[in-house]
Amino acid sequence: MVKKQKRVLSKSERERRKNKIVAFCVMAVAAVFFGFPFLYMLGSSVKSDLDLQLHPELIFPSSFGEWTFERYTGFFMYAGKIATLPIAFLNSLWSTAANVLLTVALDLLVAYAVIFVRFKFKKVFMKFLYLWMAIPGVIATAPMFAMYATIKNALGLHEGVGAYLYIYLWLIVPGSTGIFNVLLMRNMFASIPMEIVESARSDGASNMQIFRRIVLPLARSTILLIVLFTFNGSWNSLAWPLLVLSGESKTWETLTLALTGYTGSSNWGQVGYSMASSVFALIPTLIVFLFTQSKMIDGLSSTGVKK
Amino acid sequence: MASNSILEEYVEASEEAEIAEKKKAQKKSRRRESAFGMALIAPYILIFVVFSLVPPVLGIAFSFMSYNPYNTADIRFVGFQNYINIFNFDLPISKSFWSSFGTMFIYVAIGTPLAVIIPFFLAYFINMEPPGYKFFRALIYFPNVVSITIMGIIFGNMFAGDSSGLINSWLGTEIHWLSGEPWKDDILRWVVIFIATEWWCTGTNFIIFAAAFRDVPKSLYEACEMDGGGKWKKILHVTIPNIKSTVTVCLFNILIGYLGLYGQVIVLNDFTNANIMVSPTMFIQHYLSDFSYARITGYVCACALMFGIVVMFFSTIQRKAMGEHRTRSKRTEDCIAYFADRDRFTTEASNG
Repeated sequence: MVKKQKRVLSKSERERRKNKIVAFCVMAVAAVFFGFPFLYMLGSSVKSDLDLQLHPELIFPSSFGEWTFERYTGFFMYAGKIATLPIAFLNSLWSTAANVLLTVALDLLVAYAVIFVRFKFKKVFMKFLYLWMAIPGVIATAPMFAMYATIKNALGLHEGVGAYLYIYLWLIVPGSTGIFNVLLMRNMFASIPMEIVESARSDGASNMQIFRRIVLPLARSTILLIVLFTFNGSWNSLAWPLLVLSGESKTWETLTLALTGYTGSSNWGQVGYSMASSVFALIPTLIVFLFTQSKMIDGLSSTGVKK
Repeated sequence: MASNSILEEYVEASEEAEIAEKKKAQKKSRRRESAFGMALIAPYILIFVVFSLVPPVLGIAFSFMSYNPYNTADIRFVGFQNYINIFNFDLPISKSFWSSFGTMFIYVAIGTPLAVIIPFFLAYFINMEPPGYKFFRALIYFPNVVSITIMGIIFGNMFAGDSSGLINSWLGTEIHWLSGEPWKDDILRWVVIFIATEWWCTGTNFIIFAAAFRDVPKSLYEACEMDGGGKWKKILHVTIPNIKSTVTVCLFNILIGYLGLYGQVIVLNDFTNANIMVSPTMFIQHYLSDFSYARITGYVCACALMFGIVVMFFSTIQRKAMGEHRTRSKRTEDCIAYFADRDRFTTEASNG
């Protein structure tokens, strides 16, 4: 009896080991598919122009002399002028940061109110948010742009700082009220035991103290999750900035938008620069991803369906 | 005796007054709390109303108007004219609007199954936890956070039309992947778009499926094994029923997301063919951003509403399907309970 069991166990173990080898092979193939484009991007950015022409089949430069880093060193100055890309980088950076801060602040306020404060119309408010999720965003884009353009025209904001701030207001603010994020935060707050909050309140703690001492530390991972998804969404958004910034100065563009200048053309003279620019634009994303990837993946696994 | 009752009455009265006062104070604090709560959600509501609630409402209003944001004197009510124009197929603009649905449906019909099947198998294999699986998981997910423009730059250069493209130089060919003729070479463009989309979009579903695989109770597999079920039986009878609900949710999310096809075609197209392979979202964006079409903003809003109705049709089906999945997951629980009972029964029997 015991012997038999041992044999079965070892068989299943052998099976498991075989499975692992098969899985590793599959994953290795997948890794080539998913990793290769990054290698190609990196390699093309350091290939000399001559090499890009003569050896398109190689990922990395053909010989030691063909390595070039001038595209990276010459980033900030291009043809005697400050390149637009670093400026676009700054535009993206501040608008993304503002979007993230606004989103998190609004979500925290709403979730705190909904869970810990009794007020009128609370049920109506939440019910409304749930129902509103069914309305597709596409029907809002066109009228939103019409609103944007009408107000811009009426105020005469065509150039200068005012126009810039007005455009960025429309880039930053509309995305900050995502309902999914509110529900995520609400659910997190709802999981905090009510007794803790009640006992703190009976000890005379103010709402601010409860929020800072109890709620905020507990909500940290949810906040991080919302920060990450908002960061990615804002940093990579293309459609709305393309609409709002069309016809505006190049120096006002966001980074993702600025890079569209390198797409859609088969001009190989640009390959090196476009790849170097892509690497440059990818750096913030990569840094954020490296430090938070396990959190991001866990968050995606537990919240399930985002996007 | 009498004084006693008076005293009692007095005490009662004072108690009542106290209670009333307390109630009053309570009411006051309630009101204050209520005001505080509303003050907390006020900023959200303000932004939500201006940027989320008003636009669709205005959109409906604009669709019955001839609206020009740059010339407010030109605005007038036109009734159903915009909708009549949309269904007037003699107008080239309406024709291109409806043909854009064709592009969208091709993309959805091919893209959605791919976006479910490939992550499904990758998640299945990652769940066996091969060596280095955390690295593989991160690598497969990473393209998801890369911006679509960078994706366009990389794949656009890889599939460049002349011999300088990587793929062409490998194959020794000069296939015009992206810069081919309209219509005739669309299939090549689609191939590139689907490869790029797979690279870009697999991550999310892959992670979600991997979590779903992981959450299938191990005892169910063991039970299946005990009943003599092989590898395929396990997949068919344990894995698939248990992750069906997750797959359904992801399927519809992908489908609805893919209806809004936009970026891929923008970044993976040659400028010379800017007008081919237009999706509804691209159509709407194109006519909005072009200054010379500002006078037909009302018409574009009507188009956006028509498109919105199509999207809502699918999201309604999704809601129905998700409502169904709730009962299904309950069935899963029943199933687990059943297996647990049976396991206990079999172990007891074997012990006996």
